[in-house]
Amino acid sequence: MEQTDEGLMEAYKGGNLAAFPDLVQRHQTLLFGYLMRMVHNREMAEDCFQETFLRVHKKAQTYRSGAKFKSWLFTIATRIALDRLRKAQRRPSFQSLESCEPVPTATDSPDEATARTELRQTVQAALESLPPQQRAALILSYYQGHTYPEIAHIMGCSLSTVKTHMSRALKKLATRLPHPDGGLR
Amino acid sequence: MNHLSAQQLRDYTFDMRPETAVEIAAHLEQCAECRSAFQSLEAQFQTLDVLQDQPEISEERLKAVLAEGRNNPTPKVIPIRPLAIATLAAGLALAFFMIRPNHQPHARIADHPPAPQQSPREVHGTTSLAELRATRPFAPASNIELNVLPRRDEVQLTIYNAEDLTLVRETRKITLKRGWNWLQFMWSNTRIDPTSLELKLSTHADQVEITQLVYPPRLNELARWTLFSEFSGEAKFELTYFTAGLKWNADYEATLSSDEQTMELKSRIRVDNHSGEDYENAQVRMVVGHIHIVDNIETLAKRPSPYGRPGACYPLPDLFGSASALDVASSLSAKKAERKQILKSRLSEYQLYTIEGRETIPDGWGKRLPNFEAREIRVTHRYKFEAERWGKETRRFLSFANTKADQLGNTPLPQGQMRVFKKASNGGLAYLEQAHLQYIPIGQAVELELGTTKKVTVEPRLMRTRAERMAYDSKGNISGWDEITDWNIEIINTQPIPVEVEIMRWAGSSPWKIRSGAAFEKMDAEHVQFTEQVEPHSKRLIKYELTIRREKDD
Repeated sequence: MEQTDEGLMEAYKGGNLAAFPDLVQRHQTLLFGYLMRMVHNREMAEDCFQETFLRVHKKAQTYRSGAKFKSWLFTIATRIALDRLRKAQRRPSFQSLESCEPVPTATDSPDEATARTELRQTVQAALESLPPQQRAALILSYYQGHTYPEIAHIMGCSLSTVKTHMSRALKKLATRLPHPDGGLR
Repeated sequence: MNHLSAQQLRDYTFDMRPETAVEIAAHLEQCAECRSAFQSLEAQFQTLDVLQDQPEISEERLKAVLAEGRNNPTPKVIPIRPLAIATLAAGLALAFFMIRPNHQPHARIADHPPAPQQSPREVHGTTSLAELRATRPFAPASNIELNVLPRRDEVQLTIYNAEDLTLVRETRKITLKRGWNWLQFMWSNTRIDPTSLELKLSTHADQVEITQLVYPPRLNELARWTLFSEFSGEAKFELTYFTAGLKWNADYEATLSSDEQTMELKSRIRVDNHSGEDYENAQVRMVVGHIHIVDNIETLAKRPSPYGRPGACYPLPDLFGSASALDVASSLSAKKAERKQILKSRLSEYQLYTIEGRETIPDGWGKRLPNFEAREIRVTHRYKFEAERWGKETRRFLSFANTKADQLGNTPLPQGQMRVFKKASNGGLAYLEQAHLQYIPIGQAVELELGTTKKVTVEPRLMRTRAERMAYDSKGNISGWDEITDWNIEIINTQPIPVEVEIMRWAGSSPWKIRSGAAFEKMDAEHVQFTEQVEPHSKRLIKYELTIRREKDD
């Protein structure tokens, strides 16, 4: 039977180095996708990703037995991403602005690909317009599928704060997301 | 029935208030309007799905992450005893005092732990420099080893208005480790010419060697220097590069006195930043004069990557001289001037304007600062008429000289737009015209075209035509003659001031001669010019006789 994340983490904490690559490989896609949506910058997302697992490695002994590993991992990643975004706001000019390039699907015609790219840019810009805390709450909920109590745990705040973040984020997005029948409202 | 609010619909869509979900679902079943609004909202938020794809982390970075877990043994838990706590506290206090004096939040490059590949001996600097030098890295093993250039401490902008070119000179403090260091510079979304990047050490020049600058493949808008440092600690660097998008322009406001004999001239300098980069607390210098550049900076900045480009080769003068211009600026900024001055100095064939103190010019912003003011500048008005160039309209020109005798002459006048006003007798101002002023060196006169005018009119009239001095060939046919035309030119000045009018007349390409009671000057083989003074509210009449020798084959 496949070992759980928590089991792997316990094994790694106990000195089983082979558990670490398994943990990385299990969560790399979800975590990197989350970080890309958060910071919208490949270089910075990769930095955050690397720093997250470095912290997992360094703080392994502080991992509480029985705690959900995924929540712990996303807690670390969220803190790092928010910290990076805060620093980037203070010195915006020399941060890489390399964007997350859209991935055209094989069936996309040139027109469809262009429309998709434009839609993607609009949605990305709408997400980027959100303050980092609201963005984190929305991404964790919508894209990562975390429940609100889980998000509260990850973000280290109360459930009502998470809902406030979500509510404000949704209100702002409603004015910025393109409407399916064309344009913005 | 009350309809659901947008917030209620959003809360329902995102399951924010489960306690009201049943009630809202029931309402939606009954209310078509709310159902439609809900469906529309759902469709709108579904656009978020366009970002559902899962980007993959680069293999290189994944390997680096996995290496961290593999190479570093999981730290063991060491029981902390009271003595250990005291030692740790003392160590932390010592570290704090060692770091604190130079600590600046932006000056630290990156708060990263030592690279995993480093051995404890390397960390403590006990490895010999020769050994360190021998292990020259081909590329940083991971971003942990990369130093990203920190916030600049000082910046100086030298803007050339003749070209879209600005020389940026910055100083930054960087903390280096003993051995090889990577230094990364990114210029995304800016108009910096990457081929012009140059890094120099301001301190520790004998202990730090800058070995190379690389533009890594597939990583656009990014450059990395490798440096070998013989010490661990902070060093001051000077980074210079060219950028496009910063421009400065002069603009002038000329106000003619009510008798139009003198004028006041106010000049302002406007600096605009569209370089994509914010320049905070910058010393701003502007170069007046033409320069020659091989490549257009904007084109270089737009290149996807700077590979294959030879080093920068702009024949620019050394604008810095031996004394540090940044130091000069610092001393200037210490002065408490009520209004910022623009200091002028000569530099070879260029003129350098320096804005006193420092300016913050964010991207997309412009700033206008006063340059100089001069009063009682003597001006001359000239009205010109040339039918072949301007048709029946008379053109007005305003002349003055950039000389000390005319209250100017301290500096060349940079090119720019000049708005000309006239003081009305009741004290108000009347706008006359806007003209473009070309670069005017010291000692030269300037003539500004102020457009057409109806207040001074010139009307040439052909009064009589005749032929004389006929010549005949051997068969008795006419082979040549003098074509004589009599012309009257009427000049009307409706203005309350005397004016000087220049009238250019075309005489033709055949041999010609003119007789007139008025003064005239032959300008070239085909043109003659009359210059007349016309008193206020009066007319003048110029009469001339033009004789052109015609040949049969003309």
